[in-house]
Amino acid sequence: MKITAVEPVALSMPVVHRAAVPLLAGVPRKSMEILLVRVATDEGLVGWGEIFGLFNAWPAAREALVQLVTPLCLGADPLDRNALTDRVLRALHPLGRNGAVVCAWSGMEMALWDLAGKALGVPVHRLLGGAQVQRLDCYASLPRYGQVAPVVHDCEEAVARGYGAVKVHEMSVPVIRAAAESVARLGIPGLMVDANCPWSLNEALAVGRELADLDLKWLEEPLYPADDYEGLARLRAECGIPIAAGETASSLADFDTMRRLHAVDYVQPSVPKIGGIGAMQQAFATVAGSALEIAPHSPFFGPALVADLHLCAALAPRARIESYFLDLAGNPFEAFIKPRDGTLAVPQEPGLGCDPDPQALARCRI
Amino acid sequence: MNAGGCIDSARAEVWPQAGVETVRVRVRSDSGVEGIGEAFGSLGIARAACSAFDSMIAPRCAGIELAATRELPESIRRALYGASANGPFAYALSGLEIALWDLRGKLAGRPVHELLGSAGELRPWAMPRVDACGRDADLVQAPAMVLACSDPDAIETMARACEGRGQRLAVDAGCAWNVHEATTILRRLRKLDPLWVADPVWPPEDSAALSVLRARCGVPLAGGWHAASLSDIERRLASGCWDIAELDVTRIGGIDPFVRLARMALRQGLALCARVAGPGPGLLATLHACASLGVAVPIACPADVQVGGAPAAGGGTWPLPTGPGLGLP
Repeated sequence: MKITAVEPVALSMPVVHRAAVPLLAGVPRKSMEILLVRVATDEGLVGWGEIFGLFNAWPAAREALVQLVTPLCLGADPLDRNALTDRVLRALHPLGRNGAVVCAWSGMEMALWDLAGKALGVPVHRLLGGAQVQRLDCYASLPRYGQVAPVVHDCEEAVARGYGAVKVHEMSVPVIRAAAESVARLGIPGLMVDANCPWSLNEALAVGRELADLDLKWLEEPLYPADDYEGLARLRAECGIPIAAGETASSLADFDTMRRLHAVDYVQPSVPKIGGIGAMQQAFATVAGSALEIAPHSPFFGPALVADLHLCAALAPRARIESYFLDLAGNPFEAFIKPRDGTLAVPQEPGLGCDPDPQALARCRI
Repeated sequence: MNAGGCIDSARAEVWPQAGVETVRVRVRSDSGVEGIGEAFGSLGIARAACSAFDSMIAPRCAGIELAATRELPESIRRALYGASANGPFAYALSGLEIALWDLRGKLAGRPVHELLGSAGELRPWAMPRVDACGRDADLVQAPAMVLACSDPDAIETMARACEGRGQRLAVDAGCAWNVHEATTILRRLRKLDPLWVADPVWPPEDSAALSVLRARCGVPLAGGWHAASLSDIERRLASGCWDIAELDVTRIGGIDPFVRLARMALRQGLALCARVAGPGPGLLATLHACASLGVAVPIACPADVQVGGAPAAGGGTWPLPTGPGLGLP
């Protein structure tokens, strides 16, 4: 089998607002752009992957896919994934061990797993050692509002939709407290808080003291810079709240650093950023044999989220899957990524098992 | 600097320069003054870097007060930290940072090195970088050069030729070797006294492997050009894995991060090497940045880059630009 075409496919879907318009990096979220990669082969099989594109990073990643990754992949056997991975990563390493080039490769690599599963007639989780569970528990990962009312509204809405756990993206203590009390009233323990790197170590220690009575499940990315692992280790040792981090790893080596420094309780590798499914396996293996828990970063709505379902079903069945609590209109992957009773089914079709709905895809393609 | 005023526009374009692609960044003030910067654009990344500039950076520049521009690049890096530090976004941000220095210098009517508080006594010196094994190397007359090559026989041949000519050789191995291979090759090279070997092992982020090599082989090691985030480089400077920190102003975030990391490297007892892809704003920014460090920094550059009117192949030290801003002609 040979790769005959690699095509970037960008989608834009309107965000259906509930209580208020959420923010990302200070920008109102009115639509969600997603960058896919479609890989065609001479045998007619088609593979799909997803490239990290949040923060308007997708146009640069699309250029990296077209200019740099595609020429190295055309003509290659998609089942020769390990050799191709080594070749591409070595060839492109001067252009960043993370960032847009690696994101572009991550989507490509995901599509190779999809093709491998389809070629062999098995779901990707079989290639990873087999699913240990048929469904995975999810948590509702709320967008940032910065205000109490919409956060509490979304907490209640998430629980009403059947989620058994909630995470907020907030940094204000009153908002976090209101959210924690809201979910506690509804019988949901252990709010998770993703602060998105606002604080210095001293600031985070002060906030940690204020949050000490809330029994948070984790505090995620409290420090700037995100990869201040020494700082995270000190915070973790002193504040008593479990720490989560890892989505912005500079390379796979960072997971070893996190483990060695006892910087976190939960590691959060991100499949469309770190190098795809094979890199996720390596990140998981790096923390195997330690008490670190895996909590993949997956605020995604397509193949990247589905890849995490295969990975976690096979390798981390107790992990809760991050299900981003934005309602998108017309998502061609809706059938695979919309939780039921707070859980997602592990696909059993060959490959990733999440080919997009063609009509929906045509409607939201840009 | 003018007290008032703000950024009117910021844009980036692919800019072919001496046979390699770079990215030229232009930031215009509302008074019509233009600052020019350069983002790393070689190896096929130019269009992606422009794309990152257009979609991620430019929308965060318009309307920013000129008095707040020194903090602007870091505030953008911070706002978009979740998009990951390295690659075309970091290069585009570097181009912005350099353009803002040029703009502030022009508005103040002073060269950038003066704004950095430097009298510029020590001039950076040229270290021609020869990109393929042996090609063009015979033309190099400079007292030291960089050979980008991972073939041990070719490196040894070149090292002996350099020894015969009284030249010092540094090697960029491009992360080609494993630790065992690197050990064997570095031990062979040790008697030829190379200035340094950069990036001997794959993957480049394996600091522990580099520390082992340093201890085993007695050959100075260089690195840093690949490193991702500023904190990643800081951690690695402190880890003892490099003897020489190799920094590129068009990749690492521009002049302020370059100076900060260079000073940290010097404090840790490392030597410095700057790297540029060609002539242009990136080289000028490097000259101004290095002028403030109190050491004479070697700048690895293509052999045909002009050093005071002659090609870098002949060696020499750069005069510091004296015009306002970067001093781009």
